[in-house]
Amino acid sequence: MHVSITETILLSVKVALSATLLDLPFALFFGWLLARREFRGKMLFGTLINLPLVLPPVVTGWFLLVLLGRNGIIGAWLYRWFGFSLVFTWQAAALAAAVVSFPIFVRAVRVAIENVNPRYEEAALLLRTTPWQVFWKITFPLAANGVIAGALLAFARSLGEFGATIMVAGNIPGETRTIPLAIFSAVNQAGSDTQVLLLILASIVFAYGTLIISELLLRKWRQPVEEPNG
Amino acid sequence: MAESDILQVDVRARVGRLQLALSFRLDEGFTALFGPSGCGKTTTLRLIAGLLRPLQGHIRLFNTTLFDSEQGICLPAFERQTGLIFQDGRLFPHLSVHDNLLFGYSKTPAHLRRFHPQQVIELLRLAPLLQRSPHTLSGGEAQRVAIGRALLASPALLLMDEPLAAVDVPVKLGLLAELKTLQQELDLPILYVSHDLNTVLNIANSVLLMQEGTIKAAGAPLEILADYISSGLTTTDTIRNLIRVELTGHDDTLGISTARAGDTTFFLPRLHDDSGSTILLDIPASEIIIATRKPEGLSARNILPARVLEIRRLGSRVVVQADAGVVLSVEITEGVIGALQLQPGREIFLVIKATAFRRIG
Repeated sequence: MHVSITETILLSVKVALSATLLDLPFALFFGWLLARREFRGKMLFGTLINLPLVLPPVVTGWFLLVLLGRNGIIGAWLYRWFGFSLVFTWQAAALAAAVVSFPIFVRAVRVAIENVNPRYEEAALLLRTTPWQVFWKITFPLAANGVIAGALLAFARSLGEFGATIMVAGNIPGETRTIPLAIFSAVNQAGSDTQVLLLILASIVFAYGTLIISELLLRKWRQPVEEPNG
Repeated sequence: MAESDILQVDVRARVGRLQLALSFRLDEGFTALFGPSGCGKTTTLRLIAGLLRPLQGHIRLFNTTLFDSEQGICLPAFERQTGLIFQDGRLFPHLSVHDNLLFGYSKTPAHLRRFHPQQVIELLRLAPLLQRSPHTLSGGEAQRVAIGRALLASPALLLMDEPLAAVDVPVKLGLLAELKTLQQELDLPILYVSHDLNTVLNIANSVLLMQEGTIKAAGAPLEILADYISSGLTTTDTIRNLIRVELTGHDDTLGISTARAGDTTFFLPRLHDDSGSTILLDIPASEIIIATRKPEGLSARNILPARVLEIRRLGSRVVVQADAGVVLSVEITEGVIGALQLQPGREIFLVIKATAFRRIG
């Protein structure tokens, strides 16, 4: 089955975008938790969240496979009650990318929230504002640039995801074959040099583009609107 | 609980190495919480506002229990109806002045709104600032906005944590006088933290004296602070009179303007404001002269009949409060009391040079 480069790129963007959106609520919650709350075992918990950052993605993929496979704890349950299996679908590729890029996202959100002066949150609390409203009206807007930068990094990382994806989603053309998998497959095929080069070019353009945008956002956010006066 | 108690505090608390055992009542009006740095003034405000939790005891505001360790009540800060003005303003940097002002207002249920944007913007003269961004404001302007923002959340009690510490003295005096007017017009109790004697003497109608985590004394400013000063601390602070007057006319040949506060007329150096405009004057207590008979042949333009209300000693300093239509504090030396036979009720004249007035607002 022949799949065009455009289709591969669109699939990759769909997978990476889904991964980023899937990460977003969790990254906001855990980033806030780590930035603003003290609790027992916080360091251990923070390390656990960072684990996919240093673990070989293949290992992360293996864990996902064990959990989500038809005989896995979650997989068996999903199959029994809903009659579908997640493994070897594009959704599994998105989930793999989400897990692998999660630590980067959380870290960016955590730093962004730590940089918001808690005095503003305190001031808002005394203006009849509930903690939930304080987060959305004060903390989030003041941390927004950092959050967006984190989302872009997670998106870029998801686009490049290979090891966990191939374990849990396979390498199915048109279904789970994202840019890195397509490059890997094409390199092993005679006469597809042009395709390889185009895919590599696409990877570089995406990676460089997202990095530049996130860098610009972070720069704008480092010299901002801090203290109103002395 | 007595009807007149606005705030009732009986708590023990601990913050770092500081132990607090607080027991006090708050009356209406403008109360200063006065004491040296590090004695727990800010902590006291944070306990009332709900930013810190006491170890035990209770806090009541009007009929609402804010905290009660026995009943297990601890209202969260956003439900306490206490406004707090911080030393550093804390205007939200991502919102305009206008949006800062309406931040708490928009979250206040309509039936609880006591003050309204138009009223507050007018009172605090905020109209020209509305579209500005907080970081373009001066310190005094920022604090006016912060006060407006707190008022618009319709608090039942306004807590102020040395909000003017970082503001220049002339601006500060103007704002203090404004604050006092505001307090009276809005009938809003204020608890104002300060370690600046000057501020306290000029504005508060009662004082809580705090030392090492407890309230040592409570009462009228001159009463409380007299003890405080005579117990070892002296001050070189100027005792001031702040008077809000309405300009009534100008006389170019005499080079003076006239102004009115109640039924009392003051002669001032020629000003260029229109008649009818309201300005704020500052006259230091040490620049007013007391005479027992109406003096003649003096260059001083203001000779006001008055009656002695009380005589207070502040350490080695003596302050006479006299009613000349407006109440003025006059600082004299000890010997003058005997020489002029000053006592409450005595009819006197207060003599003030027109040029001794300083205009501060």
